[in-house]
Amino acid sequence: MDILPQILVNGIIAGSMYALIALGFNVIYGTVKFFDLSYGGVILVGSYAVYTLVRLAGLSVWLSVPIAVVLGGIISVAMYRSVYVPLSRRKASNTIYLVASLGVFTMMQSVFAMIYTSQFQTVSTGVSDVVRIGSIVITSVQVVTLIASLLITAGVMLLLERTRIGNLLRAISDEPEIATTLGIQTEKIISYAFFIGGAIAALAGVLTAYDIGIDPHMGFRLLLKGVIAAIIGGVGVIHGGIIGGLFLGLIENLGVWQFSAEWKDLIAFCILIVFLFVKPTGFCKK
Amino acid sequence: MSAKKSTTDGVNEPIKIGFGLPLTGGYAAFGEEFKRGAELAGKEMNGNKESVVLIIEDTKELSSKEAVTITQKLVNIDKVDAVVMSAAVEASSSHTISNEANIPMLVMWDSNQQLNDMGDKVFAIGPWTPASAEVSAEYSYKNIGKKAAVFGYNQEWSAKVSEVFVKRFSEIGGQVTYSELVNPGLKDYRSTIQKIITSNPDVIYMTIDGFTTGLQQLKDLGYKGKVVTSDILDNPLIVANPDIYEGVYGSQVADPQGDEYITYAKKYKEMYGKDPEKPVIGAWVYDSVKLLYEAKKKQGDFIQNIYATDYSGASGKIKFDSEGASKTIPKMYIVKKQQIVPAE
Repeated sequence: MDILPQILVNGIIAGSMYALIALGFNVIYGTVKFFDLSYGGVILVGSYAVYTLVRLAGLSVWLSVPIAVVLGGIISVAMYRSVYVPLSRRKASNTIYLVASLGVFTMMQSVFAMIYTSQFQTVSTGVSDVVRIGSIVITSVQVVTLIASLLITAGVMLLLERTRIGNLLRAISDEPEIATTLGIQTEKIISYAFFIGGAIAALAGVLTAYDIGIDPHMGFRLLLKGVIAAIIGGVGVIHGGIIGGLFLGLIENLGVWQFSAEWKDLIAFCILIVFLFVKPTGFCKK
Repeated sequence: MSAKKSTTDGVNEPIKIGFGLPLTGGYAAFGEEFKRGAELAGKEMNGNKESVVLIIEDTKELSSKEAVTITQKLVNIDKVDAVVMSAAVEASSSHTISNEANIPMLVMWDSNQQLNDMGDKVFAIGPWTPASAEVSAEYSYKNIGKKAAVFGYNQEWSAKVSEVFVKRFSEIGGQVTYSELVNPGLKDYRSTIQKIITSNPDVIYMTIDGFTTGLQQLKDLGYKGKVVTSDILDNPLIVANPDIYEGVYGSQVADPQGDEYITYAKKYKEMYGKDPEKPVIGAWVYDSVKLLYEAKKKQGDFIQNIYATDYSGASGKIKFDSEGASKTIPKMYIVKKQQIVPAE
């Protein structure tokens, strides 16, 4: 029982990462209503950008992280403009968007593998700075992950509820055709959603790079967990990502504690299936 | 699929060798070194006339599924004379295809009973897999402590060495405090590591695929004991993460040091502008190409000629037993100041 506090903390930390990924995913899904799998590729943009800037170019962390985050946002907008806007003009179905986004993701993953090889890389170079609270150990990167997921979720909620851009995004999300009729520049406003979502994905990639290292295949693993967290919390619901992410992280780590780590993915997908059957709207209904 | 005639009249046409190497994925650095060794041998042998044709394919993360697809192509489309796989896991299913076509398959990175049982056309020149774990278990018990935890992942090689370590460590009087295999691709090991630390081991025998991440998380969670592994100490990762690798033990095949290796290393440097990154890895594949060529060149049955091989190459001496294994016994090493040096 004496390791239970650490297991719970591990669950909260893992959950806060899932929550962060779910948050960016929800921002995009909440606006355009399709599953953008290229989001997993934008996570890689953040990871490899910070690896390149810090490890290869020798820039400071304080300069590299904002560059990586902004780059993630820009790449995400570029994907929207170059792939999804043309599909939208052709009145593509959601299946077409899904397949196209899978194609974009696979392409991005392959490009990273070609440039950086598939070899596992690390960004942090030594023993992490750790915070000890009694028997609980938490690294500085994990503290940042936890705080970032809470603050950014609150920030995005405020943005959507209290700002003009938020109102426009919600208008496009609820009634896209009426929004266009009313003269709202939908493509421009949706670009904001892709920028915000992409920047959050890139930040998740940066934090993952510092926490556990990077390889070109990590994007899909993280995307899957983020999507499961989003579904558990309620797809498209901003605060649902936090609830879904923490729930998933805690259940996974309690499963590892009680059984073994072999069960981790099995537990995650069992929960997903249970939710899809029993509570498809997730914990938080929009 | 038609069986290939294995009898040779000596080489007139170039020998065609197909390779399955992990050129992408977590073992890509090893795959690239294998590829460099093969290409060096090819370049050297094709100096005056074409003697060898190399067809190199990617098995991704040592995937047995990819290896099957690749072997189908190499055997049925490319019509190779021999297939070379980097590791036992790649040969586990693909050997049935080469066996049926009467084509020899040579495995470089492992040798074990499972490979021996794959039939008389499968050859192995790597470290004897059980010995990697046995050497680690014996060294750990004698020099580190009597309590060990075992932490591997669900992959054939890791599962095997974990099992052998547990068996050998217990046989010689040690206590295995905890043993677990995790799924491939997992990188957040913290809850498992917490369970391992709580079992209070003196040493952890760790062969997970995210070895560097595992070391980092062990340090983060305050583990003060020793870590031992087998065959996976990787120089670039050691140089990139010196603090967390310092003092890690590993059983592995000794770096070759003979005259043949010195010549190989010189040629390698001329071709690639640097010293071999993983000496024995490149030397294995370099020797494999030459050994297969020599066997093909001789009169008589190609496969029997491989059995009769007594070859002194860059990687050392290669001589197959009746089961097709040229067993190499690993030794213990330790990481000190970013170098892998013999452990005392």
